[in-house]
Amino acid sequence: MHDSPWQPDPILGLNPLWLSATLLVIVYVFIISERVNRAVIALLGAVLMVMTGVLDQPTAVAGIDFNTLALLIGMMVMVAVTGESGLFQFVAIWAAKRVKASPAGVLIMIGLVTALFSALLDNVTTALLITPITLLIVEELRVPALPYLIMIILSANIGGTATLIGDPPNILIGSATRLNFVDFIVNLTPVVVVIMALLLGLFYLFWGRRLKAEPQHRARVMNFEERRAIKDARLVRQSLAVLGLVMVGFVGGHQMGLEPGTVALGGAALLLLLHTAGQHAEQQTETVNHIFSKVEWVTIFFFAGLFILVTGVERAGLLERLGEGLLHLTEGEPQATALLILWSSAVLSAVLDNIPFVATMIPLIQSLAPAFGGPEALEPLWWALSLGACLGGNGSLIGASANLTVAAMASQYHQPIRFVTFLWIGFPVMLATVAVATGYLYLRYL
Amino acid sequence: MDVRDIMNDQPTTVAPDDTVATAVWLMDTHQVRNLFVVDDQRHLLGALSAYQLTKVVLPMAAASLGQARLHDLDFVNYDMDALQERLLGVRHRRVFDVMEPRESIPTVHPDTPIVQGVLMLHRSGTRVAVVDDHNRLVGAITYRKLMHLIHRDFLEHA
Repeated sequence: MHDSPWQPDPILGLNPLWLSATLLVIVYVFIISERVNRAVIALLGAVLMVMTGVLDQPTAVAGIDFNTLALLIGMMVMVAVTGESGLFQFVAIWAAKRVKASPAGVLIMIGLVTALFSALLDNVTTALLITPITLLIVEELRVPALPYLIMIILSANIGGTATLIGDPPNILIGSATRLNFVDFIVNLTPVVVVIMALLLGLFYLFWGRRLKAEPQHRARVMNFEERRAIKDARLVRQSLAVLGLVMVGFVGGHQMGLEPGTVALGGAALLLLLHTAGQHAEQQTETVNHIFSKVEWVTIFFFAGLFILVTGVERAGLLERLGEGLLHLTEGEPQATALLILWSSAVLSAVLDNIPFVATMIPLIQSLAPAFGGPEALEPLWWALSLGACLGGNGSLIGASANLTVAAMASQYHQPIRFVTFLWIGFPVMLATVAVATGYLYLRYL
Repeated sequence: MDVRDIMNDQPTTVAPDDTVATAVWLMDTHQVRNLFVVDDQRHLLGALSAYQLTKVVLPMAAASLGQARLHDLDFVNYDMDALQERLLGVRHRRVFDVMEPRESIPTVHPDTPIVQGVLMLHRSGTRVAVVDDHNRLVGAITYRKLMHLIHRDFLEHA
């Protein structure tokens, strides 16, 4: 990534540091204002980095982390295929029936199922798949949808924190560092389990136990036949087998030099092959087009643009300067640096998209390696960044993509989630969960 | 020829404050599947169709137009009571609360050429409202009227 001999050569002899910083800030402002689609503005910013001479094209392209893009696309394709099988509806109904369709029990179960799925899959897709079936159950029970919708958002973000593939910030961190799938599980899953238990406890105490449903309405949910939700039993088996293989690939691939991006795209290709087996050529094209249309291309292009933008400010020396500033602030103390990264990531991720923030922070933290005594010494900082950025997403309705996805669906179903309502619940939950993370980092690494 | 030459100039209407029960009674007695919702000055406010009624009766998570809606409901095992509760629950709701809003109803001006009117009918699948410059309902392009015209011309030529 840093091998290219290119040196910034901006137009009009402008200072590359200020030029690149200005471009980045303008893009951030547009992202926050939500006036322009975020993929479009990131791509525009990336092109300007090249056109103004901060980067040349080879350096810009080399800055795109294709491992991250491959991992995201591969996971999205596999989930899109699996979603066709009805597996997610099956699991949600099954879980609701295990707690005899009691409103509080369903609330807890939906949280657990969402957290589990979002740890293993993409958060946004998990939210897209769990929300409709949850709304159906809630409608039958005649209880308000709001606690359930907010539970889905919070547990998607918390569950996603647990693994390398669970949340975009983790994918970025895993791809940029030598930390692998197992490292993420060993270091993040334990604290996520504690945080999830805390969330479920809080929701039960403050909300769940006050929800009441009539016996005849609970009986209707108990009458749901989850087996009939499975549309394609063969596809369920194929999906589970391929997803299992992919997990094995994530765990074992590292020793064989297989990056997660290769494993995920391999799994996607295999599942598509199985899914389209026996179809005519035309049918295959239709199926593959349909599945590809479910990939969140806005996110993919947003990432590509951001990578180039961040490469621009990195090459111009901005991130090194900021890193020096950070070191100066914390006097190079590992403890203070980790906690500062944790809390600033959390608060910033609550108000702006955590993806650009993490993409910017990664090279900044990497620049601290010499001062800390090598890349290994940075490990606590990576966990601090991950926990802060992922858990911070719960701080407001615009904190993470999953939040916006659920909110958009909720409005379509005439159950809007208001910004302030969410803030009242999400922000305290964010503070409590980051406090737990602080204790965890302190006890384990500092 | 313009749309005004082929439109039904007396489409059945309902008031926004009427109940769904009244609307269904109107559909039944007039043998129509669509009602336009208009105010006292015949300003178009929306429409209530048989299509919209099925949407209100079904669970929201399946009937919504959202991308992530449930595609099937065959795991939902309703008994007669559950179905009746849903149907009866709709009866006393106001037409205004369950109608398709004005902005989702295709409309044309009476001066629009016929082919464009038929194209819009084809695309909408149900009906097209004909409104004047002040959003007042003056007619409707419907399949029933169109079939009637085809049939009449056929007889004349034969």
